Amino acid sequence: MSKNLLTIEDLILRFYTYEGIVEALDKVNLKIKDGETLGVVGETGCGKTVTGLSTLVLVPPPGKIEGGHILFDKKGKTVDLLSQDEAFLRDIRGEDISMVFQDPRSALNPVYTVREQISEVFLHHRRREFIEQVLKRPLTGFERKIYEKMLENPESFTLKVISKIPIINRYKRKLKDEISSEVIRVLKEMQISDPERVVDMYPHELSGGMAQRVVIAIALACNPKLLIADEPTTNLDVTIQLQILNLIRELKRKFGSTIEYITHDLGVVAEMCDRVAVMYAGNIVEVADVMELFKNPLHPYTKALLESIPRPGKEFKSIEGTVPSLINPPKGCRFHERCPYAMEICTKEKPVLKEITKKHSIQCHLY
Amino acid sequence: MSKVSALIETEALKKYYPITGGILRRRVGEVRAVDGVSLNIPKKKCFGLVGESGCGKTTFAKTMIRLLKPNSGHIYFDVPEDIKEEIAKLEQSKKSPELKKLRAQYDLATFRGKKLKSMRRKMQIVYQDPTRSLNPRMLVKDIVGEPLIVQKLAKGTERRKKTLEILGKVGLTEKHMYRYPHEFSGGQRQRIAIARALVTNPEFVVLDEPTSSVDVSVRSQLLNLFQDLRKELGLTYLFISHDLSIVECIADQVAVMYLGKIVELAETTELYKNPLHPYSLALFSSIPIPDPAVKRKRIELKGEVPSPVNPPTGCRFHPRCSEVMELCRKEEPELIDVGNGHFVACHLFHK
Amino acid sequence: MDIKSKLHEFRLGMQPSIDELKFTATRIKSSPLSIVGAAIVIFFIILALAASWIAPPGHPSQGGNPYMMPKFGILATPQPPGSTVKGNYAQFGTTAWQYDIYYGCIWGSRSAFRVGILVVIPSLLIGLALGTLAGYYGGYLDELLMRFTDIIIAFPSLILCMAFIVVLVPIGIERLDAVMLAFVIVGWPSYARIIRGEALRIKNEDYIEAAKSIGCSDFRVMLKHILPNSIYPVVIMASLDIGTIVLGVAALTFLGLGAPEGWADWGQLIAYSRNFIYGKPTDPYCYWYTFIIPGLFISFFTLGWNLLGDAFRDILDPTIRRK
Repeated sequence: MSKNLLTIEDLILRFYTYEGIVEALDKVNLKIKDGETLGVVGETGCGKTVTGLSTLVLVPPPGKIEGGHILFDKKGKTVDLLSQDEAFLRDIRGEDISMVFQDPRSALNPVYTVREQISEVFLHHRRREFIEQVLKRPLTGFERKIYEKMLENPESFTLKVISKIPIINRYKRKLKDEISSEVIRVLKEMQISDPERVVDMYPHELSGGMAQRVVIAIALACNPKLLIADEPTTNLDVTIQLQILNLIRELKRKFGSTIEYITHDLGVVAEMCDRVAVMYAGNIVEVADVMELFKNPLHPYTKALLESIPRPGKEFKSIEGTVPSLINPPKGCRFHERCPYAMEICTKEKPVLKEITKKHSIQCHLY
Repeated sequence: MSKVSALIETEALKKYYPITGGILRRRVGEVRAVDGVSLNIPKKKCFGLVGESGCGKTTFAKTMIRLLKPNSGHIYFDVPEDIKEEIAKLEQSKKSPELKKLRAQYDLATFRGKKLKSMRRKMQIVYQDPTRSLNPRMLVKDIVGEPLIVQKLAKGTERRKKTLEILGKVGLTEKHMYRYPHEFSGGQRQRIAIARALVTNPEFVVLDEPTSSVDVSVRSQLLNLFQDLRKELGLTYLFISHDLSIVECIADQVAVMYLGKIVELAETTELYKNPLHPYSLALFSSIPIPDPAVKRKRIELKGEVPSPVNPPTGCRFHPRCSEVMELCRKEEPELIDVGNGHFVACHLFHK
Repeated sequence: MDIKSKLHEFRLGMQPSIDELKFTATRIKSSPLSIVGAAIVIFFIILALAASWIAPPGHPSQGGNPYMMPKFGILATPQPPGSTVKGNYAQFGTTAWQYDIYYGCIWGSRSAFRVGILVVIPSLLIGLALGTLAGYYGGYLDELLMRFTDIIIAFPSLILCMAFIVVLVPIGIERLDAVMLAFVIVGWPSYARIIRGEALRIKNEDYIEAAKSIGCSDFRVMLKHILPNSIYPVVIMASLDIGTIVLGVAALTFLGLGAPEGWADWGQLIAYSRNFIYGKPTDPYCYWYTFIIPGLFISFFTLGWNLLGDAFRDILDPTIRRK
C-alpha cells in the first residue's frame, strides 16, 4: 500500500480583483500517491494551474490561500506546507517539489545562459555537496582554506567580502567547473545530443523542444520527489510533444519521481497517467484510475468531456452553456446549470467527494 | 490533379523572406517559407492543411489570398477551365505577350490596386487568436460592418441590417453589437471574427487554426458552426491546423506540408488510413489517443525541425528520415500520383 | 431612419463608452493626486472663462484691448496689495509702472491657455501625422523623418526662438506669435517619435492585417486602427506639455522676447518685477508680491497639468488599468 506523497485537504483559494472576489478553489481535495503519475484535467479557468502553484505556495497576488492544508511527506515526516515559513519553503522548492511550466521560453530568464540557469539550482540546493567535491581536488592553500570556511560558516562576513574582490574571487571558478560537469551530465540525461554546445546558449536561441528540455533539466536537477508539470507540451509541435512525453516517461522510470500532470488534452492523459482527477470550476469532480475513467465515466461533466472529443464521421458534440464566472459562482453544485441530469438538490447543496470504489471517487448528487 | 471545379489553384507559389545582415543591410539569405507549392482547392469543400510550426502553412494561405506578395508562381481564383488550358498552351509555345496579357487578367498574383481590392471581398481569413485579430477600440458593430464600408457594399440602414443578419448566423444578437471585444469570452470573440469574415459573402475562407486558442468545449461549438455555415452559404474552406484529430473530422481533403513544400496529399479517409510519406507516418503516429486501452506504435522523429533558411539539399526530410536513400540527399522528389487521388513526394514511391 | 431611432442608435452606441467612462471615473477617484490635478486645471479654466466678470476691463489705460493690463499710475515703484492708486483699488498690488497685478494674473490665465493650446495642438497634429506615416511605412520614409527630427531636436529652442523673432517680426508677425511658432517647430518631433514607436508596435498586430484583408486603404488603417490604439501616450505627453510650454514662454517673456509691453501675461508680470526682486537693504522682500503672486499662478498652472498628465497615464494606460 503506497502512501500518499501529497495530500491537499479542503483547499480554499480566492482572488481579490477589481471586479469582485474570484472563488478560484472551493475546498479542493486531492491525494497523490508516492511514485504515481496523477493527471489533473480540466478546461481553462477550472483552477488546475493554481492548484499546482498552491502546492508550491507560489500563488501570485491578488490571490490568497484562505483555508485547508497541504500535507507533504518530507523524508517520512508529514509537514503542512501552508504553515511553514518562507525559508523552509524555499528549501523545498526545487529540491523536493519542482514545477515545469507551459511556455518554456518565458520560464527561462532570457539574459542568462543555460549553464548559469541550471547551475543556480545546484548552487542553492546542493552547495555543500559540491564544495566537498571541490575539496577532493588539488587546491592551493588559500583556496582550500576558503572552501573549508564555506563549509563551516557559509554566512561569515569575511567570506562575503572576499567573494566580491575581483582577482581574489577567482577561487569561485573551481566550484563553477565542478558544477559545470554536472550540468552537462544532466543535459545528457535529457537526451540532448550535444550538451557542450547547448550549455552556453541563451534561451532565445533554443527551439521550443530544446527549451522545454532545459526547463525539465532545471526541475529535475536535484531529483525532487514530486514534479508538477503544468501543460508542458501544449505549446509544442506534436512530434516534439512525443519526444518530450517519452523523455518524461523515461526519467520517471529512472528516478522514480511522482508526477502531477496538469493538462487539458485527454489524449496525453491517456498516454501518461496512472490516475486522473477531473476539475471543474474550482472543484475536483471525479478521481479515478485512468482505465476506469475512460471506460466508465460517472460524473456528467466527465461524460460530456469525453463525448466532445472529435471523432471522424460523427457530429461534434459540445457542452451546453459556458463555464460560469467564479466571481459569483452558482450555488450548490457548480455544474448544475449545464448538467443534463440536474436535480433540485443540485441547486441547493454542494456535493461532497465520495469514494465509490477503491479506484473511483466522485462529487455528484447522483451517487 | 483533378481539374474539376477548382475554386482556387496555385502553381509553384513561392514566398521568401529576405534576411538582411551586415552594415549596409544587404540580403545575406532567405527564409524559404513557401518553396513551390501547387495546390488545387475544389469548390464548396473543406481542404485541410497540416504541418508543424515553421512548415509554411500560414504563410502559404496568406500568400494565396494576397495578404502577402508572392515572389513567384501563379494564383488562379475561379478562373474557367478553358482559360487555364489556354494559358498552359501559351506557356508551352512560349508566346510571351499574349501570355502576359492573359496572366495580367486572370493571375491573382499579378493583381494590384482596385482589381485586387475587389477580389478581397471574395476571399477572407479567420485568425487563430481572436483577442489579437479584433481591434480592441472598435465596437463589434463597427468591426463587423467595416468590410461593408470598405468594399462599398451597403450603407446606413442596409449595412445595419446586414450586420445584424450575419451576427445572427454566428449566434450573436443585437445587444452584442454595442460592446467592445474585451467584454466577450474567447469563443464569442472568434464568432465575431467569423462574422466579420462572412459579411461580404465571400466564396473562399481561410481558417487559420481557428480553434487553437479556445477551450475544448467551445471548440466543438465552433466546428459545428463552421460546418453549418459552409453548407448554408456554399463556402470553400482552407482549414489550417496542427491538430490532426480535428482536421480528420472536418476536412474532405488534406495536404501535409513540411518546410515549405507539400509532401503528401489525399482524401481524408485515405490519408489517415494509409499515410505513405515517412513524415506523415511519424506525424500521425505521434497524436496521443484519448483511450488508454489502445497502444499504438509510435514513431519518434529524431532531431528538431530544421530552419527554412537553409533547407537540406535534395529531399528536405532526408536528415530525419528512417528510410533515407542515397538518392534522397541529391534529388528533390516530385509530388506524384500513386492512385486513388493520393499524391506523395517521396523517392520510395518513384515509379 | 427617423429621428427617434437615430437617437436610440446613438444612445446604444455610446453606452459602452459611457461604461468605460464610469470605470475611468472610479479610477480617478482612487487616485487623490489626479483629483487635485483635475481640480487645479478646472479652477484655471473657470478663471479664464470668467475673466471678464472677475476682473472687468474698461480702464482707459488699456486702450480698448482687454488683454493689456491697466496702468493705474506712472510711478516706477510697485505698490503693496490692498493699496489704492489714483482711485483704483489694487487687490494684489501693482508692479513696476503701476500695472495691476490682479488683472494681470486673471487675464494671464487666458493668455496661458491660448499659448498652451495654440502650441500644443499643432505640434500634436503634425507629430501624429508624420509619426504615424513614418512608423507605418518604415523604410526610407522612416529614416528620412527620423533624421529630420534629429536635426530639429539638436536645436536649442531658445536660440531658435530668437532667430524666428529676428526674421519674422520685421515682416509684421507679432512677437508672441513668432515665439509660439518656434515652439511648435521644436515641439512636434517628440510627439512624432512616440507615435512612431506605437505605430511600429501596432502595425504587426493581427487586426491590422485583418483590416488590410478586407481591403482597407493604408489611410483608413492608419486613421481608424492605428491611431485610436496608439494615442494614449501622446495625450499624456500633451497635457504635460501645456504646463511646460507656458513655463517656457514665460521664461522668454522674462528675457524680453515674448509678449509685448503691458500684455497681461504671467511671464510679463515677472519680467516687470525684475528690478524689485531684491528690494531695500533694510527690507529685502518688501516687493514680494510682484513676483511671488504671478509665480504662484505659473507654478500651480504647471503643477495642475503635470498632475493631470500623470493621472491620465495611470488611468488610461491599458496595461495597468485593470488591476
